[in-house]
Amino acid sequence: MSGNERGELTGFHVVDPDLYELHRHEIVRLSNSYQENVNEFLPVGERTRPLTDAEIAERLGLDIRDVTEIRVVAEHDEYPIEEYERAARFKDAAVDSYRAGGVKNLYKGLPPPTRR
Amino acid sequence: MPPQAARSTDDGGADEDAPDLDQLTDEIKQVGLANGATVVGVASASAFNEYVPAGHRPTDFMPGARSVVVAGTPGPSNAAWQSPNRRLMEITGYDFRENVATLVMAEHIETRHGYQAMQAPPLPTSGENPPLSMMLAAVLAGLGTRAIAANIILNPQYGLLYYAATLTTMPLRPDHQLEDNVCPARSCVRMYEMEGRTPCMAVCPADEGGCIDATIENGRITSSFFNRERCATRSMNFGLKGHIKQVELLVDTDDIEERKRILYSDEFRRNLAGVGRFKESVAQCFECMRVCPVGRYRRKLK
Repeated sequence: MSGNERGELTGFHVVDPDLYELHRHEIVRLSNSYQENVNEFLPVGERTRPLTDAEIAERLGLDIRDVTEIRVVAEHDEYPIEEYERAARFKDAAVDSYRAGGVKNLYKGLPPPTRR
Repeated sequence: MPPQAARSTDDGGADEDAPDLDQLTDEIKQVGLANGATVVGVASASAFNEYVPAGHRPTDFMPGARSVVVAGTPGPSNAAWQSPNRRLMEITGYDFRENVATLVMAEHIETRHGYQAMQAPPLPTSGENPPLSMMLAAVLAGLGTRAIAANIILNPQYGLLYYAATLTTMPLRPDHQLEDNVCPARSCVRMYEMEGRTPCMAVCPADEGGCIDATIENGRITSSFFNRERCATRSMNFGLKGHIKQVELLVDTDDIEERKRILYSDEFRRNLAGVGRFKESVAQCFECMRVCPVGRYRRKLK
């Protein structure tokens, strides 16, 4: 398996914006971004795994360099900068809640700390 | 001439003085443990074939690789989890000891035993996808199993550990995968049966702006979901990804004063610090692990 087949030699390859918009959601869905049932303890048949860039390229009939570049850009594009601010506030709330009541507040069935 | 991991002499007879596979394996593990690893396990290189496609197997990086020696370390100390300042764990705790241990083991294997050995690629080379999964390596080496929480590998004794690995052509005795899934813990199953959620799912629910979802039946995980991209906004809150977002803001801003406010902002400095110091870019959200019961008893100290 060469580096090219792994899609690691993209270099300064730039993807056409129309091609990006056409495939970004599908490529992200097929890749490692949203992991469903990847647990090794799940039986064969129920366990799934994301596709590699080479496999996605083959399925969608695309050049692997395009798939890699679309995936890398789309990973960044999934959430806007506002999500980063929300993330910081989420962590503030979560750690404050933990300090106030420890993990027991969850066991009592109270709302999770992010939504108090 | 370094000693070889062989059990026979040149004429094919048994060499009574040659160390056997168990002794050699234990020797390599001891080198890892003496150089920073908290746990060390061994996986057969071929064990990866069942779980990952070509391009992501040990032999893709080291043709002829036979063994993968995995080292794990806890990252933040037990006390760090109790800190009221969540930023403390964002800037401390991750000391790369597991990487040091794998490098020392590789050097030991090459110089003492004459086999090829190198550190496995631990970081992504294209976007967020790792070339070789250290999480899978840890599972195959019997060091832990995948949790509902962010698919993190939970060690039954320590809970969250960070993993690195050494690839080698040296034959070693592989450890068995754990027979029982570490997750969900008994207390989590009880909570799930009462409320439909485990502690990690309650803190970071995928259907309410978080990252995690799962179903449990008869005490076992029957389905799981992890939103890695949302998790990245939390666990890599400041660093490369945040920096790119801010550059995007900058290029969209024509106002010079606004640009200055962005450039001089605390967040901009944090992002650059995250990139430059690297520690900040490894993990900055611990909330699903903070409430995980596995290994938590270790955090109760004087």
